[in-house]
Amino acid sequence: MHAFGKFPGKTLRELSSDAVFSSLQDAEIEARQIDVAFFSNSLAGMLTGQESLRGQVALHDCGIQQIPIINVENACASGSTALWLAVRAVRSGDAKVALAVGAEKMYVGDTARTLKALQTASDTEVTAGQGLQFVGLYAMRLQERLRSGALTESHLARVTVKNKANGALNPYAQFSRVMTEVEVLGARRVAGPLTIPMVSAISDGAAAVLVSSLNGGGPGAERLRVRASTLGTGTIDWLGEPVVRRSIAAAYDEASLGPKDLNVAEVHDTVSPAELFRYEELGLCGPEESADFFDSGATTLTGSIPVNPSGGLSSRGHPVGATGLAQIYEIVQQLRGTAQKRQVRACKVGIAQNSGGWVDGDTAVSCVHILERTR
Amino acid sequence: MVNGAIWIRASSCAQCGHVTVPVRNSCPRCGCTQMHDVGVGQKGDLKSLVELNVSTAEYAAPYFIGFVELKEGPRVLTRLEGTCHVGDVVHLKSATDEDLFWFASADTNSGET
Repeated sequence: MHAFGKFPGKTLRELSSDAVFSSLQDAEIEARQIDVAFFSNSLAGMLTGQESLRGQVALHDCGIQQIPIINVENACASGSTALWLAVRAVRSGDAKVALAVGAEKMYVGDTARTLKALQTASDTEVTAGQGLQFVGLYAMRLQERLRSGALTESHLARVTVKNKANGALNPYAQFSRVMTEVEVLGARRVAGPLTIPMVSAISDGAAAVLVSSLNGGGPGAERLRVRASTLGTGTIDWLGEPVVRRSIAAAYDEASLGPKDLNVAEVHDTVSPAELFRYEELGLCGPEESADFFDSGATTLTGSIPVNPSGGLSSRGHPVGATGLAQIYEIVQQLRGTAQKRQVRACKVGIAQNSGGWVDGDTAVSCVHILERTR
Repeated sequence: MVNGAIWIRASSCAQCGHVTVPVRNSCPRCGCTQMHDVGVGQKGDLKSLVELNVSTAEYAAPYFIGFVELKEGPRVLTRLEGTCHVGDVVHLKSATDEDLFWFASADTNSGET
């Protein structure tokens, strides 16, 4: 993994190489052992001008040549989609080793240009000229809960405070400052009740994951198993994100596991308070019970089901094409027991949920992976 | 613009009646390929509204977006102008050949200038 943050001096190729080399070193395998590579990126075409062959360009200098390289684009869920494909390449027997790598460079010195690129993760015929910002969609979903009294602004702030504290313990996170509830609520507003610390930032970064059927891999490589890998597309809805719930239910079904079996979760929180919706979608609590569930402390690092120990998108950063694989990186560290100061206890099963885009009122893509430590 | 009135160009499904904005040649709800052109959206109910405080290339902050449920059925994501509140009836402000529209509360000029 390459740390998330602002790296104006590094190219997409350099970010990708760092992530690939560290994953190869970790698994103790050589680049020439990789049978197929899936390269995830969402915005380079619009932000750097590199279209069409992003993976072939970015991976060339890592010695990843000759083998099939497939470019993957699925909005903010591109990274997990690359993993979904890598898992299938190995499951089918076609590949013994498959690489999923995601990289994004979003700092181009012009926030409006980056926002414009992000806007295209929607049906542009519908959203053209309407000033869409994804933080606005989440703000509207949260405002409904604030109006009904199911959530308070304090909840929006305190889930952010939790994730800032987690991010401060994560050496790969973009932001390392612990914040108080007063600081979070007092920060500049960006969309409705959402303030700057609550929302995911513009980031550069990369992450890579190797999937293998080899038993002779490195000491870490053979200890984790993919119990579920699901990918779903949205339907017709308004702000309810039913695709997230469906992709999670499908993952539980595939793994023959349920919410009570989870020890750790990384979820897609484009804005930190969106994590509260994920508690319900994961079945950790009932519908509209996320406020009480959060108040119970269950999702803190020492709770019964820690959520976003990495800090989530607002602390770790959100380089779109890399986020889904950074979630997997975090789950892997947690399951191996190598997450250092943010290590959660009794960690055997972890889930990662990654969302992307918006079409016809629903989140466009949701991808879920469940990993298990097998010994 | 039809007879001086402004509408959003839309499609209505011959089979299930689902109305889509913008025009579609098949129905996203039932898959039917018999779609009729209709004009919709002169007014609707404002279901959600949010103030955005970050400028984009198109709009200087602060500006408002929200969801309007048109009386013909579909909900549309739209920019809002003027002082609006959730629950208000809002009016179509402008529709051009480029299908760009926005909504405003009743006490704002209708844009039919």
